[in-house]
Amino acid sequence: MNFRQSLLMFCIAVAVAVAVVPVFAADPANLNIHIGIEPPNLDQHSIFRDETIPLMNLLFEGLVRSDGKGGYVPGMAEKWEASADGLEYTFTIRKGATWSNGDPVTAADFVYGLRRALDPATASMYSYILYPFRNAQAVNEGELPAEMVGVRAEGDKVTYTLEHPTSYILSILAMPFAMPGNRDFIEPLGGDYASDANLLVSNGPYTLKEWRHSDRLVLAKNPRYWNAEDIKLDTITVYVISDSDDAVDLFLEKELDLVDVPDHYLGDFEARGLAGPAYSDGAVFYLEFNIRDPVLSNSKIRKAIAYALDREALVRDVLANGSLPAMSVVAPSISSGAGGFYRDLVPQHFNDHDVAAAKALLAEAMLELGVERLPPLTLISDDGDRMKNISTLIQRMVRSSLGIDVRIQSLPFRERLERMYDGDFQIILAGLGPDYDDPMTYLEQWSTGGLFNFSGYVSAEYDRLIGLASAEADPEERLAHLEAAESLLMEDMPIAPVYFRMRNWAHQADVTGIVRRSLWPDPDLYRAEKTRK
Amino acid sequence: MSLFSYIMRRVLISLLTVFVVVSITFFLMNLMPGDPFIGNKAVPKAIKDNLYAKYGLDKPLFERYLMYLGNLAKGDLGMSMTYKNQKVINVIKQAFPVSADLGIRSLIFGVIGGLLLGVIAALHHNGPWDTTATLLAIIGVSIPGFLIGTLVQYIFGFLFSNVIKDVFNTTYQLIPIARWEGFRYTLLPSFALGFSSLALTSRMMRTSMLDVLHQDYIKTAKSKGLTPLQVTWRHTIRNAILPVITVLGPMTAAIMTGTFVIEKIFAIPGLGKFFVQSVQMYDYTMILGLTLFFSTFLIFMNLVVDIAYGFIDPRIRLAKGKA
Repeated sequence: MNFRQSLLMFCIAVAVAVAVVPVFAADPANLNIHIGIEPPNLDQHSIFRDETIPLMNLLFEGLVRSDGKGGYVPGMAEKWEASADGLEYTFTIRKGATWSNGDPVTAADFVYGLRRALDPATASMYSYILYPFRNAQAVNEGELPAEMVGVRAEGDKVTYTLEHPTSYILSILAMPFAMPGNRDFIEPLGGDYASDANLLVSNGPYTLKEWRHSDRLVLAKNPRYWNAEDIKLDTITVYVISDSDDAVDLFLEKELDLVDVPDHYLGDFEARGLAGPAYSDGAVFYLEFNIRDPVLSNSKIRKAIAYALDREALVRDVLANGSLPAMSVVAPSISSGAGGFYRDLVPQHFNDHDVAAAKALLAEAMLELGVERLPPLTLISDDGDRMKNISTLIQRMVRSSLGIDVRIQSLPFRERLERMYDGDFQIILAGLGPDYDDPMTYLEQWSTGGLFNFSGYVSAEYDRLIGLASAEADPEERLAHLEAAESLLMEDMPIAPVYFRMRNWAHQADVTGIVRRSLWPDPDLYRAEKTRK
Repeated sequence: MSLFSYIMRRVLISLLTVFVVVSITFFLMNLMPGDPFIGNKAVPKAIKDNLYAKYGLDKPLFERYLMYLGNLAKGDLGMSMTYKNQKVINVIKQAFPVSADLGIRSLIFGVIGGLLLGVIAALHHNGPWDTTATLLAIIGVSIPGFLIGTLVQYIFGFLFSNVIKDVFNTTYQLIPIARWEGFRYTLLPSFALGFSSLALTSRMMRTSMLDVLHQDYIKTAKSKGLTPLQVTWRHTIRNAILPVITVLGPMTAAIMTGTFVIEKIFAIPGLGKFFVQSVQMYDYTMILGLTLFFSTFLIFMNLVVDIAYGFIDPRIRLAKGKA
């Protein structure tokens, strides 16, 4: 090899090294994740999309924080106590609690935060979750001034007053809407608050370092955070990627550390040994019947359809991801409010695939309705593959077991929602996820005027049971009321539960400490760590 | 009439056009049944009312129209209803430069490449160069951008990166297939986006060149002893390029304001997605803002093209003086 040849080889080697080196120089303490939408804003008090909540959990901190195991640990508060009647909670703000601009976090910031979240002018989408606080609903509806909401500050103590004893109040206080607000920072900005990296002040483990809209957000560890030594990542880069297949591709190229695995990739991920354990996101999927319909007004028809479904086959053959058959409404991952999980204490309410009972009910119903043959029923579902497959299977099950013809109408998501909100359907396939850690988050929906009660279901007895449970301070008594309510709901069957959804996700092998759960924030990255190479 | 007064007249007409476009869009858009604040969850009516009041949707349609025009006169496009704390103008300011950057790269690739191909094809009429150029043009015209995009992603993201993986044992991507980080990242999307312009330009240029080449003045030019280069450059291209310039206006406007599909495929944070998304989400202020922006840009590009005519072909006189 002469000199010129060696020089050429050397140059090629350098060029290759320059091209390859960036891979090995990867930053050890940066986590790459993605979010499916460009955040509408990052205003802790007026969140519009659930997708931003994992970010709020990193940027902000409430009085308490999820411990990742179902409980709550001190956050901005160092301790708290509840009054004997369960109507007052007093929190002591920890010393050294600081905003990212250096201002101290005070009890008054929490008072301001709650008032701001409920102020009609803020127009917060999820403010109804705060209605357990005294007068919160009236304030939110503009009937009372914001000062009337049940919260007050004295020194370093902030005291919340509740409408009813609310055992799950900590899970609400951990949510962004109940987080503090830095009034001096927010008020001068008005509507521009939290619309850019420099227009946000935070008090959580991370600060917003950069926000390239529709592209990425960079969160940097907040050195002023009281527990900064337990925060193991220097930065978290959040890419805005709306296409879930793109996210999967980037994950497979190791450019993302965490990804939700879409159905059609699950087999591939399992084959490569990448799929993490499925987890319950708390969502229950069900058929909602329109009780205003002359045929479906008969509860025996509704029950016949509910009993006829073979959920076991459905979760095995169509979902095939660990989802569970639902013969009740409250998902297995929800606490009972009296210790342990509700579903462990309260068994499901009827048998799956009970065709004999279904046929008997149908026969009785036909007699009551005075018909020989039922007209075909229309089932509305979303137009995604999964929902279409589920509705097709339901169609087949109902026809083979009961001889009822079901027509399927698949609609785009928003259109399906509008039909549901307008009550313009016979049967609709819908899902409901939990807002807070209590069976009530599902059960209150079907009381008269309940938010998800699109069926037209009205039962004085059901309303009474929900009312009793709301007002009951004793956990055991309350649980009994909740159980009775759920049981009645499954007797009247305005909705026929189908399955409790499980979700599939994956993370890179060098990442630990990510918590997936059925309640906000999901995913919880507070304890995430990354050890690369 | 001078060029200046011609431009002034065109600007006035443009303003009127934009006004009509915005007005029609405003009323058409409000005919769509739908709710900008529909979310994954049902919310109480009181909360819906709060939102409607905050965005002024509780007021009668005509009052909202007047309010919008009033704000528009002050240069205020309003707040987006999807990106709650974002001003529409800021969304455009952030996303347009990205789309324009990609668009200019694609145009440079598409137009210059297309012109070259067209010229070469015409000069070698019915030869192998012509066949190649025509074939490329047909491929470019008939295969939509999203397919080309996916195809190059497959080639570079899978085939090419597998080779790199085998040879260098790394997953490093020399030519990345998604995102918008630097020059390397612009290559594939610019190619995918520019390919159809390349095809269109080359076809038009070829046809137009062939037409011109048969004209008498070309024979004259040749017979008076000009070199082939002089004939091609001064007499053929200059005359043949006019139809291409005509389509260049709308083409530039369309490409530079972002394309939904290419930007989505390559995860580019440009303006394209907002056009589609704003309609899907009933983001009224965003729909109006984008319509206004796009129509203004399109009208402006057409004006630029009209003025450019005058420079390229002195026979075209925009400002018709009194004879």
